[in-house]
Amino acid sequence: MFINWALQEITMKIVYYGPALSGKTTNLEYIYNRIAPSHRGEMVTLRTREDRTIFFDFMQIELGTIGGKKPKFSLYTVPGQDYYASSRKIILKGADGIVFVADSQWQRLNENIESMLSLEQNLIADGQSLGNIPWVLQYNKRDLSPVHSIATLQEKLNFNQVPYLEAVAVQGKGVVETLKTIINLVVSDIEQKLKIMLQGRDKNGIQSRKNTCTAKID
Amino acid sequence: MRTPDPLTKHKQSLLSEEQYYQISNELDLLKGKLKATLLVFGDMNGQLITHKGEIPGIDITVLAALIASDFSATTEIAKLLGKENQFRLHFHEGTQQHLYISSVGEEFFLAVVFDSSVTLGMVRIFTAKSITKITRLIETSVEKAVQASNIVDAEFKTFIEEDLNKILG
Repeated sequence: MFINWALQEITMKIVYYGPALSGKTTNLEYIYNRIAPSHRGEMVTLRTREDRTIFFDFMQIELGTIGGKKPKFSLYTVPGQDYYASSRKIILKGADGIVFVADSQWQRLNENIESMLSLEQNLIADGQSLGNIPWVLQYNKRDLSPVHSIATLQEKLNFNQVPYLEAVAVQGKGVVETLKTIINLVVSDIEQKLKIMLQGRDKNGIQSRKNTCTAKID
Repeated sequence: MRTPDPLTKHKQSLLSEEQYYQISNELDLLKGKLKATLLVFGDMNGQLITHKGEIPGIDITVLAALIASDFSATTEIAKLLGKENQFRLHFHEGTQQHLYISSVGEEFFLAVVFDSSVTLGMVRIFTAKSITKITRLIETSVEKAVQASNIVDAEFKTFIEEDLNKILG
């Protein structure tokens, strides 16, 4: 997250993570096409000739001004293939929230688990973990067959008991709901962190008034 | 014992009004000296903070995200080479336009887009001077009048939900 006090801009970073071909880019493309150009920037997609994400997809959503404040959400996807491990680490840096896009298909369970483990490792390298960052699980490709039951996927992947959503991203099913859920979690998390910050400052003898808190940022 | 600030874990996730305007003024001066086409100041996570100048048809938010990723990618190269943690500057030479990118402290970058009428030496000298000033501005411990309790509250969350429903349906 980045707060620019002068412009009252609050920018939050959300990363779509998951194994190769699970539908991360499809999620972003649907969101991009759904939102009016006045509320979003360009979508950049860095792809190989085989139409696979090589580095990341990126777009930014801008909401209206809320009480003088301008919230923005930067959405990124990471490349899923094994050999882009470094790219995933780079893009995760500074993430405020994560959408893990799992492929529900029966034969993809191991890839989902491996991707989840790499996510946890990369978060730990960045000083975070799946236990303390807001994240949601999207079980994608629910229209295909054979797919694992939600109960099985929950048991194998959702060990943190985070919110989960079923999706068919190519049809737009579950995509918007997933985005709304992660944004809600991210904003709640930031609200909580601000409260802790304020309490910490108060305990350290720095005065706070009803609406204005003077905080020293080292 | 001081309570750690979760928001400042990544060093600078907050930029005060005073810092912003001082940086903005410094960039105005730099742009004037270099007659640069565009200056982009952002953080290493890909957030655009401010820019000076425009290039028709270019989304500068996207440009900032790409530049930050470019920086991070070469940081990985530097680590692989084993002797550097980060390359401090990058230069991409085009036929008509050139891009000079330098880190500003550990958390920010400054990119300069300029044409062939400006020499690289000029860009290096003036940019380095500006970066020294900006780094000092960023690193100095600053008392900030933070309207923290007004930033993200229950009302803000409600408005976000309503606005998302409007634009996403």
